[in-house]
Amino acid sequence: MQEAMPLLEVKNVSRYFGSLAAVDDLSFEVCQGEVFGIAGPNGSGKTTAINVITQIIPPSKGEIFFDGHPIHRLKSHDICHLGIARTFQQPTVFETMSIADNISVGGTFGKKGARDGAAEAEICRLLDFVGLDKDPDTPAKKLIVNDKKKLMLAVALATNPKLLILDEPCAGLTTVESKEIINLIKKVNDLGTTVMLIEHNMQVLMNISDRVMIIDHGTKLCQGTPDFVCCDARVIETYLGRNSVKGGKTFAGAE
Amino acid sequence: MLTKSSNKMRPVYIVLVILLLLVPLIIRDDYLMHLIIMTCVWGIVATNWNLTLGYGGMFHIAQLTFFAVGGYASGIGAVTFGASPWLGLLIGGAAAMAASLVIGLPSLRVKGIYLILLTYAFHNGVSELVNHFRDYTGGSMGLLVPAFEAGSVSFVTHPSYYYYMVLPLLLFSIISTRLIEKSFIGKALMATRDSEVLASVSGINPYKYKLVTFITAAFISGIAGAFYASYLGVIGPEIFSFSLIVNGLGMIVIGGMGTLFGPIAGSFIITFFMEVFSSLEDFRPILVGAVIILALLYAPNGVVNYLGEMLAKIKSRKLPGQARESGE
Amino acid sequence: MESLLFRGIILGSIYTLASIGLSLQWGVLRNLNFSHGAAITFGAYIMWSAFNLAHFPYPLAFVLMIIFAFILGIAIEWLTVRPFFGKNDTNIFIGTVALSSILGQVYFLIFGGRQKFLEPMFDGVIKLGSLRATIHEIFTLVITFITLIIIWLVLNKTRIGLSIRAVSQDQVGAVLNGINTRKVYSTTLGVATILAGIAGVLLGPIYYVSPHMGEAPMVKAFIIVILGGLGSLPGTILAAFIVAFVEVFVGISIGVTWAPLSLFIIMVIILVFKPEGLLGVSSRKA
Repeated sequence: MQEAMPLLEVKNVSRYFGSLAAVDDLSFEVCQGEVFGIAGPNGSGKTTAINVITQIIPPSKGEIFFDGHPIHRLKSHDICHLGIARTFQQPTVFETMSIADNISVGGTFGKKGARDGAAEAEICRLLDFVGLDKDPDTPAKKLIVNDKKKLMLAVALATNPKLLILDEPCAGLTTVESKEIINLIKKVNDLGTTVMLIEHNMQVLMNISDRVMIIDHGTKLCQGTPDFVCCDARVIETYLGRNSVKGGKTFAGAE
Repeated sequence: MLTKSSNKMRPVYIVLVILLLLVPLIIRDDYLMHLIIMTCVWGIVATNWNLTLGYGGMFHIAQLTFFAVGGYASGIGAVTFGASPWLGLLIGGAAAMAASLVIGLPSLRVKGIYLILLTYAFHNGVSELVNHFRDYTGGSMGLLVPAFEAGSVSFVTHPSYYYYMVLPLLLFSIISTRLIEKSFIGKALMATRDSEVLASVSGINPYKYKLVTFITAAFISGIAGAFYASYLGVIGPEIFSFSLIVNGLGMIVIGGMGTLFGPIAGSFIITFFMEVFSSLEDFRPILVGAVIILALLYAPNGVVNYLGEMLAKIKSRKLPGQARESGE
Repeated sequence: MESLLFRGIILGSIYTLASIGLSLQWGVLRNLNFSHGAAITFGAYIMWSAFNLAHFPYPLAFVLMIIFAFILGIAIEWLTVRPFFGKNDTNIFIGTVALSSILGQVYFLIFGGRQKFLEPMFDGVIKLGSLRATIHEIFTLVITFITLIIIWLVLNKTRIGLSIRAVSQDQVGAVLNGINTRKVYSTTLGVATILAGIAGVLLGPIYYVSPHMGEAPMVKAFIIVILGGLGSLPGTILAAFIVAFVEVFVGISIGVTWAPLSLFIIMVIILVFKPEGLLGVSSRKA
């Protein structure tokens, strides 16, 4: 897995808000087919990093390559067309539209030039895949948070991405719901989609990721296999205190 | 599902259009005809405004700028260059379209309060331009615009001719709104309205779809403006007045933002409301303002939705009642 | 030259008062109030009535104006902001636009369309070297200065002021810290309306009082708060003076009708290239 070619390359990227560097000279690679986990305390620049990659916020400096294309000057929708899809930490859906219409937005606009929309069968397949057992005509605003998260994932998958970026998919969910999401992520990855995952819960991250990167103050602290990262002295020192990660401590718990 | 329901509604729409076509034969009163024509003109403006505002979530006041630009363009065309009012319709539409590019290209990059203020600034800016080039625009006196003629027949004495001009434009506005709503453009527009960020990471270029809709709506409003100038025979700086913004917004809010027929219902209500209370002349702006605030408070989805909800309530109340009766 | 500079400073002071309330309101409520112009007119009319109809002495009339303006501000908040706050910004905009139209017409019905002359507190002209200034202009400077100091003191030294600042920095945090945000909202609108009212009182002797006198200053106030950066009080003050100087100098050197056009062009350029304004913080946050 580790020898695979990089799908996403982030090179010396920075993003400043006034004098504050939310992302500071950050470089990393995500390889084809892996699950790449990102962790770090609150305010460490995780979400800003993926906002910069998907151009919700343009980077102040640095270069980003996806599949060989430079993407740091493109717009969000162009990046989507190249094959990056993402979700948000807050459950974000098209509130006034039905479940089916939500998914068909991804199918209709996810590829450049495609305008025929997602077929009904495809919508049902995606609903089934994410485990959203609701009438496709239900307005999205009537869904509960967990279902909105599933729908948001379905919308992202409908664009048929090569790389799926997930921003804390388990935030605010119960243990059972989290397990469901984790299995879903594994399923997505098994079907060949590369996954980049921000997660607060170290246990979840260690379980699912092939490689993990820890960031703080917008810079990379360390990176490697889950086991390697857990043993890194700086990580333990900064976030985990004297307790070991393997004891099931989370970053959230350690703060 | 949707195609099915619109098929079911098709006969209703056809009957409605035929009835609308018969209106001048039924109504012989010139003044009433005038009110109906004004309802249509404002219906066109409100429908196109609603397309960008209600469906597109672009909160702007440029629709009245386009309306004014259309009116002034056809007026200047007629007075300075001797263009016929028929050509004026085209000039008005084209000028409004050009204005929508000038206004839309910078303005649609921002949103929320910035978009409101920027379009408000443009509205005032165009008004200042009109004031500045008074040699062409007639300054505060305005311009006298010639009436439509066909052969040697002037339309002035035939309100029904005007009606048959403005009705197709109104129907065209409704149909184009419907077509856009049902097309991928409408889907992109409504997705952007709901969440611009999610829309753009789902592959939608929000700017592109907003601009396309903005220009389309401007074109039709510009034609309506040209019609309005020639119909009234005069176009003056009152067209930029604050009270027209209030009335226009009122039509959309009272009728129902983001609904197909709401803005027309709204323009009907406001136009006739103003008329009914014409004896209270100076109190009318107060009443209109009060009605708008009341509508915002108590029927925020507009009368069309409000009536729909009431009907549904009555129906659901009736149904168990009938069941009980049949049970007895 | 000095007289132009002086005129710019006077106009800048009045614009500061006319726009700082809007800026304050943006900071707390994240929306703008389109009945602000009607509030400016309100101040001028209350002052005129208290002075010319009730024959109150000037200071008493001024205090009365402040009390009434505060009440009007609370009414604006109660009627057009509170019902929609946090749910629908569009409705706040439409509501305040409608309210503005109502108020304008009410003034028309009560006071008629004819312009009224609001007498200044002090009549007369003084000479300062080569500069001729009316005492009203000096009075304007003094009042603006005092008002700004009072605003600064209120924001920094009083409980409600601290609450206002807390809410503008962090809505949720303020609620969690036990701040009654509703009280903060209506107080903010009240204070904003008082500031608008004072601007109206100072404008009255310069431009006459008429039912829609506040609309032009309101448009300028919008330009100012955008130019200075929404929510930034120092930015607003800076922008008020920039706008005033542009208006005075363009008006003299190119022509009076160019002054509003040039302001408008400045606003478009700012909104397109630097929507956060001169001293504003970027609105794009992670």
